[in-house]
Amino acid sequence: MSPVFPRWTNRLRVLVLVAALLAPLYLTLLMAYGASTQTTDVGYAPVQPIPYSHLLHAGELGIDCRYCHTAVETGARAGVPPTQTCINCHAQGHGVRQESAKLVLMREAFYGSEQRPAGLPIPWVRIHDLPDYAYFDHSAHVTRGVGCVECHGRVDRMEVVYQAKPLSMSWCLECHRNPGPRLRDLDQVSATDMTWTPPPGAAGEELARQLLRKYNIRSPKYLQSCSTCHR
Amino acid sequence: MKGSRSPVATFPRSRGYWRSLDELADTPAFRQWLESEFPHLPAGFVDGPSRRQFLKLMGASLALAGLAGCRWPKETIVPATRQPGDRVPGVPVQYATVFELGGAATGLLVTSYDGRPIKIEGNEKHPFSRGKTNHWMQASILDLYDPDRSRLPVQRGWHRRPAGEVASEASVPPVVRSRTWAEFEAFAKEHFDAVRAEGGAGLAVLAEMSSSPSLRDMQGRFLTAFPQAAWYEYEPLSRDNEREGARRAFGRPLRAHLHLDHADVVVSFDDDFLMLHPAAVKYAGDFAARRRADDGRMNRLYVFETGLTVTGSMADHRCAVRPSQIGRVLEELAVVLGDRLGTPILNGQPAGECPLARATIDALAADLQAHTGKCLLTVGPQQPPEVHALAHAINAALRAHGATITFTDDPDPQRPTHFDAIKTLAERVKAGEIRTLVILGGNPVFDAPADLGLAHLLPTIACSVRLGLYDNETSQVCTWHLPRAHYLEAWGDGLAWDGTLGIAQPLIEPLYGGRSPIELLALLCGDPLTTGHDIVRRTFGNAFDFGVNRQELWEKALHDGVVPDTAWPVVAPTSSAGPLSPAPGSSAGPPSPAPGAGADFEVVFAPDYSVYDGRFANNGWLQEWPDPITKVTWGNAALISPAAAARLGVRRNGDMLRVAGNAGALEVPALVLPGHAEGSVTLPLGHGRGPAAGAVASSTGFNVFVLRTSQSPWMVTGGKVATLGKHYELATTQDHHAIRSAVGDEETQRRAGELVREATLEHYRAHPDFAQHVVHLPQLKSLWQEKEYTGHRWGMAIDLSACIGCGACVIACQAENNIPVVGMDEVLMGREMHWIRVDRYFREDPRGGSSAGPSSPTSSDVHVVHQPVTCVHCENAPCEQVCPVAATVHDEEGLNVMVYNRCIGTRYCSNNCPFKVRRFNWFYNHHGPRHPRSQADGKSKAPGLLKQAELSEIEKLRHNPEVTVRSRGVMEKCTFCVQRINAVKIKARNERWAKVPDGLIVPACAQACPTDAIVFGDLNDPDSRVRKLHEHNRAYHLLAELNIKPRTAYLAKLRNPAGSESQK
Repeated sequence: MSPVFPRWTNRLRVLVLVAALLAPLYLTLLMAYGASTQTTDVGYAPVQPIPYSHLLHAGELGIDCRYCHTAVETGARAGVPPTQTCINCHAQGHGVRQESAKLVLMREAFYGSEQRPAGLPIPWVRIHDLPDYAYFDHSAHVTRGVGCVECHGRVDRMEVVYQAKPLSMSWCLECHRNPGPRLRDLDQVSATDMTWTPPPGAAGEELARQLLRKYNIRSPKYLQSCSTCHR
Repeated sequence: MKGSRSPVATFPRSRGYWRSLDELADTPAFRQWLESEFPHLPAGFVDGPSRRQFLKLMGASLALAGLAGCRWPKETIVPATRQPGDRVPGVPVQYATVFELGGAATGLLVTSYDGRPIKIEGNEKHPFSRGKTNHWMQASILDLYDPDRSRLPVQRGWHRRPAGEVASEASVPPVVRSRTWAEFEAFAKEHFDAVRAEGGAGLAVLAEMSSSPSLRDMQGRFLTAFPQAAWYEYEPLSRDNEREGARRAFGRPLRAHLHLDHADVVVSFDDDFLMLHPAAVKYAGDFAARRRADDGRMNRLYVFETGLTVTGSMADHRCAVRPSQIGRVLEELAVVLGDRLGTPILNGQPAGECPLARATIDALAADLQAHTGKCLLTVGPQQPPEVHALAHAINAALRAHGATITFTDDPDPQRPTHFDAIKTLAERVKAGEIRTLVILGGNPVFDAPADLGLAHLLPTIACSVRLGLYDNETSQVCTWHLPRAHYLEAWGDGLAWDGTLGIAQPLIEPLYGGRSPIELLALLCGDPLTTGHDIVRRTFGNAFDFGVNRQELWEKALHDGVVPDTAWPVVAPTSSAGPLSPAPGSSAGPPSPAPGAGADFEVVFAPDYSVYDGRFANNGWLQEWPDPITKVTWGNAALISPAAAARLGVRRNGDMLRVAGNAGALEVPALVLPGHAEGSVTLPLGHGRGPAAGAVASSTGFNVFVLRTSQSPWMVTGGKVATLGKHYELATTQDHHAIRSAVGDEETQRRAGELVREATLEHYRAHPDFAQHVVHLPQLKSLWQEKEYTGHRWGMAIDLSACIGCGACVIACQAENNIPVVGMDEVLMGREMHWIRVDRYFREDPRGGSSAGPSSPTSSDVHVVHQPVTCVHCENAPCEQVCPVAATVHDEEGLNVMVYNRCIGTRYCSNNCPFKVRRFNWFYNHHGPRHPRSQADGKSKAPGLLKQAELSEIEKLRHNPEVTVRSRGVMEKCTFCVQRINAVKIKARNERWAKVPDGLIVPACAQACPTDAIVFGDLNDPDSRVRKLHEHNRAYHLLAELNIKPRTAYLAKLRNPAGSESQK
């Protein structure tokens, strides 16, 4: 009776054994890397309907974030500005860059055209997208000394805005476990200042302690409670 | 006895508290429910897919997971082009409006989230809401997003028939065409111009009862444009008997206003003023304010009624009396009281015999006499006018008028009664006099008296136009159906029960292009104003535009939703001289039913607590809301007393009965209700509408309107009731969440008494801390390390003395927390999802409900306790101790929180919860497989899986975005409305408040509660209301002996039976 497998397959046995031993490790690493938000989300920079440049507006022109994102200190959402806000500068008749081809959609949205009636919104693509069961509140952070840059990165240097931080739960908790170093004194530095960094060493630690008291920041235990962010 | 155990025949002696007769008699069904570990498990799983299907599905989902796993779907942000100044995206805003039901308006504040209304709350500035609502107001927001609402005008081509000839719907199906509003406008212009040329001859309007001044104004304009047109008003649950009774007593129809906050003794004769009165929200609040005995005093409530109602369940003394005998009791009381007061109230002796013992009447009369000027009698709208007239005479003799009852003029004294109006209309249609009929809302084909035969008469009208939310029974026999704007989509106004003006403003553009009745009337009569806003503004201007700040006044009225000081002036009633004669017509009551089969019954038609007169039938929240008394969901049942059940041979709830009345017969399941009057059967109206009502209502309940005639719209004497030998499974929740423990039945029963603690006022005075001593609590040592709370410590207190069991909290919670509707079959398996339930316990022997009355004048035939139960957020929570994945944990402010993403669905927590307040999502429940919509048009995603309908885009709009929508396989429960806590806390800390003021954080249940029975707050704040209630001498904790330390304290219930001399 001839054998089912030819003789040369004996050599494969070792190989199969090694592969079987390594496979779980490989898969775990692959999943951990492939599914982490660091891989999937950081750097996400979708094409926006209008090539709006934060580098130009916020960086070079120095427009404050809150000029457009008006609700950031009062509401849960910072708010994407209504088209009216763009028109404040780019109005027909007296505005800047009135004829720019990049702003066709904006002008159509506001003034209407043959193709589109006036009043249709501009469909901006959401970049910083938390899951629906996480309830982030901008006002709760910005009014307690957390600057925009902590979560959004150097938006003032972004020609096309991308997601700078992973926005994963473990990343949120890094700060919720130790909020002090991320705080700034709003009486001295604006929350929208992208360049400020805490002083190094002991001075930084002392400032963190002061600000935790000043803004009455809850204990890390409270900040890590499920109900702080989830409802 | 055939060996079967009837729940009625085998009562044990005394069992303390019990939920249902099944539990009391320990029937096999109840035992089976208890003993199965998961009563809701068996039929729960999907028909298992075969191995091959399983492999296919797994393969497919793995393959797809690779594609979908990268990032969730691309989302767009669409900001407004021009943002209104007062809107911040994501910040909810409240707008004032009014809700009208039964001809009286109640003020509301509606929360709008980014332009879509998501939650209804009461308007604190409105005198008949005072910030509170009932379950109908809470649930009305679901109707707004109902995908079954009609979207386009519909034209039906009926074959013209000569007048008078009866058409049968079956023989000639109509030609149905969808039209646009423009097409209707073109038709209306042509048609109504022709009608106008004839002066409106042959034109009639049938309207619902409405208090709207704008509608009244448009009515005047319409009748000016069409002088010969007739206007009829019909409301199936009319309160016209009350009006006619006042006409008899005072010579003109006056509207009575009860001042329950001033009444020490309240006597209700078949009047469910805590639930069904148009002013019930206010009345419930006024009544409950006198039940807390904070100053050692309480009011006392006597109720004489047929079925057990919510009002009856709050009574200190309650007697079940057949409806025809209510008048007899009142006559007897008039005689006795006349003797005592020395001024005869009733001329001569009553013709009939009083069904109650003389001692009962004597005791009542003595109590009333002792509280002259501080008592009141009230009679239900289903009682005939002469009974109302007699009650007015007694009230006058007791000097209640002006003290506890005041009167205002009826807003429309010339109007014929609703039943006369619909009868006249039917006769005129029959005679061929009506050629054009406009129906504004209402559903007369379903709810008009059956003997009028409107279903056959309406098709004979050449042109009939109906405006309604749904293309329903009535629309289907009209030539035109027009979609109506929901009240949250339309401008309007309405008067409260006392005439206070409220303005209704739209929260959203009409989703389906509907229009309001005033807009339709404006269109038909060629009014220059066409929009609802302009019409309402004009009406308002005509009434108030004489000052300098006209626009300011209007804007303030809009903002507040109510115009203060617009109530009608109080008038002093002028009694007709001399004592009344006993009512001749009704004195010959039906003979007492003889024992045995085929007995005569008095058939009572009652409004349904869930669907009212049927208008809310397609509202899933209301259908699944357990009736406060019967705990029936998804339908109705014939309510009979235990004695009647024994006589008829009804073995268990759900046995089918055949009830025959004047107009026909009806098959309906029986439900044995302790405290129901013997010899009568109560049939709740409004169910059984069939497919015309919409997908949700299509297969629920039994239509009772088929028995109702214009001669006897409230009661039929001599009705025949017999069992059919069939059975129908009623979806009641009354035995759900019961526990059988190792301690045995007797002990469980004993402990049930410890869950609800109550005492008479007398006992409370002698032992103010009785509630703490019901259970002996040894010094308990905790196995767990106690947590310290330095910040907030949230807690709740529920006052059982104030809770009337109305169930508004259940719907408020459902709306706030995105709680799904699961459908009748899931409820039968015990899988309803409500986070808060109202347990209703009976006490004592159920056989007292006989027309012979209670044996002693100081007893009551049935005692009821309502106990709202939701998660009590135990300090040592048993659920947390068994969760293998830490999906339920405590937060730093003492909330027992549920982490949906961690939950793997073991359900250990639910098993270990002693209060049974945790709910498991067996399916994705927004249109789960047993939701009526899934059963109507759901699709199964794969072979072997149950059908499931997608949630339509419109339905998704109703969700509260502040609360996670839970998916399949996770446990959920009350969160103390953590989203509301966080919203206030964030605002307080953003604005650097020194502290969060007490009373600013209000969970949805407490917000809705008309009696303020639920109080929420910070237990660490020594001045908070909830802290004071926790330290109240009536406060106790459920199952404190388990050392679980609940965060919710209950305040023991107090009763005030006569003899405790509370008022001295």
